[in-house]
Amino acid sequence: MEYLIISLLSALAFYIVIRPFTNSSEEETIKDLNKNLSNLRSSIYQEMELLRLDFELGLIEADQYELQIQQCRIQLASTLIAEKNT
Amino acid sequence: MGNLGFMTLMLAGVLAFYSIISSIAGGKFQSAALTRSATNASYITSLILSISTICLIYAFVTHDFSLSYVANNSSLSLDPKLTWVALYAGNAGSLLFLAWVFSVLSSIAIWKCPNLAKPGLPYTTATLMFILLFYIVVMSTMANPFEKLAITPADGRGMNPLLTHPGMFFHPPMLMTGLIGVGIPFSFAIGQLLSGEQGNEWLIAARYWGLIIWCILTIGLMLGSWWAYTILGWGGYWAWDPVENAGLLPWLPLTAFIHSIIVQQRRNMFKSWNIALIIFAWGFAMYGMFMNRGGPVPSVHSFGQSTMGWIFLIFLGFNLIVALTLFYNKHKKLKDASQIDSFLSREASFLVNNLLFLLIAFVTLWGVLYPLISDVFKGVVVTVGQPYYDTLTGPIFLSLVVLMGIGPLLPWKNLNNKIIMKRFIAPLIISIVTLIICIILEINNIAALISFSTCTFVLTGILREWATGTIVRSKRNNEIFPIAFIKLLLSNKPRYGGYIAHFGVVILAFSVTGSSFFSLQQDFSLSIGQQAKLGEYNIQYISNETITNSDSVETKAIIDLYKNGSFVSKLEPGYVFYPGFNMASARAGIISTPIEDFYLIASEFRDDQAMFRIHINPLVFWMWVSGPIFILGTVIALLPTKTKYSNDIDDQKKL
Repeated sequence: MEYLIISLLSALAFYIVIRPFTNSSEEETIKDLNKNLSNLRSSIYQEMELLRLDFELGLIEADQYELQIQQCRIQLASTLIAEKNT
Repeated sequence: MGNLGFMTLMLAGVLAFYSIISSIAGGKFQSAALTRSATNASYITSLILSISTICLIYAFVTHDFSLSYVANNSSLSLDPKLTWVALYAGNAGSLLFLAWVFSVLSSIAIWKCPNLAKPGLPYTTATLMFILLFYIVVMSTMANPFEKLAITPADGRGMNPLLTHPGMFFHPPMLMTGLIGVGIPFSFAIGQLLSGEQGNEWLIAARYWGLIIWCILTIGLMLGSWWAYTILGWGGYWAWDPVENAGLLPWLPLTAFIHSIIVQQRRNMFKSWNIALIIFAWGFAMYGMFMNRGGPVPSVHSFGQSTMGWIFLIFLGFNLIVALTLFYNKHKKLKDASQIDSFLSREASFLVNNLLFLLIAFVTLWGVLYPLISDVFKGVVVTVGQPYYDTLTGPIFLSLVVLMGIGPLLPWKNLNNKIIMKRFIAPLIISIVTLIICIILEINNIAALISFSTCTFVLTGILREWATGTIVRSKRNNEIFPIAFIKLLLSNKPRYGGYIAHFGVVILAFSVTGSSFFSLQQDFSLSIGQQAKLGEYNIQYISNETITNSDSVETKAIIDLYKNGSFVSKLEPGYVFYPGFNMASARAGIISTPIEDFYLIASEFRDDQAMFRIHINPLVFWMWVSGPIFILGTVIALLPTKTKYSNDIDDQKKL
């Protein structure tokens, strides 16, 4: 019984390990790329929101706030362009 | 089941080895198929190790004493509830537990790896699997939990009696998970270095795992303190025992890391420093493993019979050499985008915080190593005890609490000191008022006065931040205060979760101050019927009792406790002797209140006489309260932040 279980487990492990070599992954790569860009966009929005809150709480000065928000906007624009192109 | 357990262990080893080779090749040749295959191998490794662990649990449940580990760590009379504790009660089982936990955590870390950290993922996977493979190899060659005995005994030896405490269900697994878990943020750091990425790609994963592991380690350390307090019978909760210190050592750089990583996220600074911190944390975690498994210092925590410390020492050395060489070769590429503009800025306070944590770590390390160095090089046996640690680390811990109050009040990149004055006024006034009240209450101890006023300074700072934020939100969004407060907490979970954790630290500091500076202790020898008095408490020795169990002999005194003449409770302090282990374990009588703990230990029973030690430990209750607050703060800090903008109109509005 023990040998049967270990044989089945070994076969399962072998199947799972070789599976990526038998599947085409191009579609998944594009999906991953889109997900990457979408996550990046979300994190930039989040960063902008935090900056705004810090500015309102007086944790960050006006010139710094403007500078960092501007950087976020530039990043956001390039992310949106990249997303459109994929 | 023993055969299946060992064979699954071997299969897990083969898969982990394959995963290392395949992920390195996948990373090197940019092959998605190889990388996915390695990832799959790591997932299946955790499944296989889970089966291996189930085999050992099954052997305990079915009392399979043909396995040496089961025979040495359980018996027919063992309470079935303790099967879980028996799993990691010995050296080999705890190694299997470590490997299993690490494989599961690694699988989750790989599966939930943020997309940004994916370029380094093949190397991260290789590092994770390398650590796992080490444990599997050690088990299969030196400490096999499935090793069979030549002759199967009719009954087992039983479990170490010190482990039959409720705290043991969680303290060892939490501490072991915490120690091995440091390997996960470490692997992300190594993945980052090996992949040649120069940015902050690994940060999200490292922060997330750093916080989880920090929380687990904190719970493990606190449960350990609770266990020591209730079962070791010496009236304290932290003894600076060498192995206790080994649990604290990785916690210190890890705490520094979860703070300084905020600076990298926010200001793109401390890139090299953060990687160095996590290497330190992993080094200390492995040092803890080494101490636990046959290190040079005996301890209540170590596996006494284990002599495999040297293999852990070699592994520690190898990891540090590889990690530090990689760090040295790559750190020049990790250039910071900005620098500290003012020493009264938040980033500067984070740097000082980090240095203080590291200072405590090195002071503690020196306390552990000095007796060994002295013994080896001078031939003089030296003991480094509590006074050394209290004298050196006490002021540094207090400085950290002060900094914890100051840091959050400082703005990022501060160039305007007027803001600072405005933020500091309220906390300063309240702390001075506290100082005056303490003096009026005749608290004369300088350290306690500083500590109490510092605690109120930090507390006021936190409350001020919450109040200001709530008012700003309430005005901006026309929200009522409770709603504005909850939304404020949820608006920046890492920050406000952190403040809650800081609130827990204040309570912990309050408790440590009370119990360190105002505790009372006295020994009494009493005959039956006699009374003793300490502070407001009176005890009367009523009788004693001896109960013989199948594996132990329990001796206890029956005591009536009075406070200011009024009856409080009946206590039954005593000890349990386990002949099979030639070991006794104390059972303290404890009455815990928010003001103070009454703690009574009984020993040396002779006819109608016994020795009693009374401790009155103020504010210890709050130490156990601080634990759940730490957890709450960490859970809030870890909650995911959803900022989804689903259509282009929203995007354009934002722009």
